[in-house]
Amino acid sequence: MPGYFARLTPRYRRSWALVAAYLAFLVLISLIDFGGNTAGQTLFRGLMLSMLIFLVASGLSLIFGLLDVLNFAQGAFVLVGAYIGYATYQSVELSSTYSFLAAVGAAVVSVGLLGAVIETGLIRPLYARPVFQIVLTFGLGAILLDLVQRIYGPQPKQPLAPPELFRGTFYLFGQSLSIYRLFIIGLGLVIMVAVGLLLNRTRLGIIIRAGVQDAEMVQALGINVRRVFTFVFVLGAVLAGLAGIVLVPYQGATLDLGNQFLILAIVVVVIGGMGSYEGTAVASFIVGLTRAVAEQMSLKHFDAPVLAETSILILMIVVLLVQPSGLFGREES
Amino acid sequence: MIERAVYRRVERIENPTGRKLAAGLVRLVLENWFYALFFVLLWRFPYLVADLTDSEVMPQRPTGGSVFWQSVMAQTLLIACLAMSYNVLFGFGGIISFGHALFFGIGGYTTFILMREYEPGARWPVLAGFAALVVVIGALARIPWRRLALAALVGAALLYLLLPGSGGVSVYQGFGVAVLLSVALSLLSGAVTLRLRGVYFAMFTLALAEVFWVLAKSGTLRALTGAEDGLPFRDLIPDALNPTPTAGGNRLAMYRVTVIFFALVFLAIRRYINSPVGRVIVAVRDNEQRARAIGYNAFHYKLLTMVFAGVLATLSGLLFVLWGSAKRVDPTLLSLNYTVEPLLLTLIGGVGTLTGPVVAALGLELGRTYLREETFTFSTRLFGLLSLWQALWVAGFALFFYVFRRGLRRGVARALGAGRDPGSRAVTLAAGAGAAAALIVVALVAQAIYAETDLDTYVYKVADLWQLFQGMLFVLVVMLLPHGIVGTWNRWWFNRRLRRMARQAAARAAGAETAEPSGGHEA
Repeated sequence: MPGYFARLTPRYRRSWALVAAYLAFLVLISLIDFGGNTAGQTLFRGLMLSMLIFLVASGLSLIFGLLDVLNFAQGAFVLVGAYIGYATYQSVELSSTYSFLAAVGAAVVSVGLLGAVIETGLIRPLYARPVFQIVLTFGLGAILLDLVQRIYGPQPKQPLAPPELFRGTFYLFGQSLSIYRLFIIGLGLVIMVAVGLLLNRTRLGIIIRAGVQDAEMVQALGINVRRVFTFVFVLGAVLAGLAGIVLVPYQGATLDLGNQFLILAIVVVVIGGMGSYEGTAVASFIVGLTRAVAEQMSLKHFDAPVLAETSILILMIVVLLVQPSGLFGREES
Repeated sequence: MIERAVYRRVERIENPTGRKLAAGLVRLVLENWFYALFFVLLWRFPYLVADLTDSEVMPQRPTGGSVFWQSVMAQTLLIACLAMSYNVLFGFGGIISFGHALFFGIGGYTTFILMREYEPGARWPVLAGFAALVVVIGALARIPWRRLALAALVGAALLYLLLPGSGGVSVYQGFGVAVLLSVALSLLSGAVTLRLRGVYFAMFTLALAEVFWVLAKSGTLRALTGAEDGLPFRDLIPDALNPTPTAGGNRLAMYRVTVIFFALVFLAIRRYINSPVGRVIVAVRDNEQRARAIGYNAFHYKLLTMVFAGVLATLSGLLFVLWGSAKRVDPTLLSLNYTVEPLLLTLIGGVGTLTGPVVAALGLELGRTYLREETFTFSTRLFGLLSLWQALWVAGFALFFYVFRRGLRRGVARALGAGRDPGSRAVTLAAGAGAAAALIVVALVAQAIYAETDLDTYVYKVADLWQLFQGMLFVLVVMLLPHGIVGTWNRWWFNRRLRRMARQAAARAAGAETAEPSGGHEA
């Protein structure tokens, strides 16, 4: 890790400093405004939100980086994962831990298959027409949303009990919290590290990173980039579906889940820099914590969540104005 | 000089003014007969519907076919205007914006918030805010300061005239301010981001529109915007702008205003695209670097296009709000719906065609209203042969074969023997036959599985299926009809003419060839 910081370009070092300063500012302002315990609770909630956002945004960022496709169906993947997971979790009659595992499996496999079919059948013929890919994924998102509504009904699904294994509570910041929240954070961190290792330590990772820089060149070197494209698209979809099913025991499943997470993920990808993995990871924390703090703040001062919803959009607008390529993205020519 | 004078005189002798004028008129009519006919049709539409449905054009109470369809047609035309303005951006300018709804919805909010909240003392603060906006635009856009100062002066003077020194704001003054605001907003968002790559621009506009949408529907600003319920304006508008009463002919008058507005928008866009400026914009879309190399400031032309499209969208939005039956400015006007809708209409009609969005809007919107009460019976037994579940299985496997068709071909080629070309006809036949056999087996297996399932007939309302239908249209159009309806038609027509010309040229060449030997002989 020290080697990593030594090798950074000045711009990256500046970005890291900026991120550290901003996060410190968030912590400080929440400590000052809410006082110890509430600040802790808020930041803890923000941390959990960051992890969920990261799961969705990393897929979006990888897909955009490698395939140059802005996948507007990413939110719908979350939705499909959540509802299929919900249905499986509810209907499989095993002990709750096993049925949760079955639900995760069902969500991941079905969303992964969906991603594979979409990439190979629909997106692949459109690589020559970039604008139409955006439109296509947009339309797919609408279709999936409608299908989910048609199959599972428009009513929001109540959260299901977390699996036996994570049902306990623990005491933190003057509040007893479900261990399931720790599980979400842990899962997010594990996946963050795992995908990071995949990208940095494996042959496939090298190919993906090279493809992000110049896919044509990788193709010219005799590597089947198309297959890697499919893999990355499926990986992105699977991570989004995972975020969906993980949400079910925490806040249930609602139809606006997809759009909500899509906007958050887009903000993360813009702030972090398109196609940059470390940028996505860092920006997830920024967005998650900002949202949690802004929510708490507007509840305290305005008793309405207007600040929470606009704060991250304004953050994104500011970043686009100051540095359009994001904190860790490649400079635009 | 002398030559030109001589030419002019010769031309006048050969082509006297009256004849030229007449010829011009004839040409105008001949070139535009279709549009003129369409306009007349729209103008007579209420009467046509009245005849067809046996209802009154101006009944005492707002019931009956004619009155209903006047309102539907007017709203459809306004959506068509919105789609046309989006097409100016997307089709002719090559600018992908995901925030067009902002311009559509901002007009109603600006006008009616001003009318409710404006006090004469607010004139100077508003002007100060305007000045600040100009400074921001100037700092960000790097527009030459002279042009900026001139624009700012004109804008400030208009604002000063529009905001009264005493009394409240009238509707028309509110409209004026709304248009000014839309100009400023499109300048601001364009100035800030048009230098970015397409995707970043799309995201920026998306975020900007989302901010306004969230603000409009947030409970915190309920006193100002009415939050989710919308901003009521029934008692703010004069009778002349209220299409609800029908007896006095208000609705018919508003309908005519809308038709004229539609025609004007169409003509304005046509004029704009065919003007020198419009040609430059198309050139910038096709190849920005080339346009810049020729010496055009691509950025300014794009900015101008954004302002043009933004103002047209604002005006359509204002009229659209007035047509709403609830007489409220709804936050949904700012939502993503009104960005997606024009995008879809543009794609279906044909990106970069003048009439495409109109064709698509008329087809889809009128179709939706016409079919709103219709039901759609969905039987799970298809053609008395297959059950739906079987069909789904077969379709799934067919998709599977399609996706892996290359691998399939390769496998079949290998099975047929070494050295067989995977693209050869024998392989195609063998693979096709194999796939068909596999599909039949799948169908039989599926029938065995679902033998016990009872066959149902589902009845859906068409209106309920519309969302799904729209999403599918998106995908189908993108995959199968990339040029849209009008675009495909234009290309087919163009190719037909090209083929005919080629045939004629070939015939002429053949004629020359048969003539040549004899000619050569004579020589």
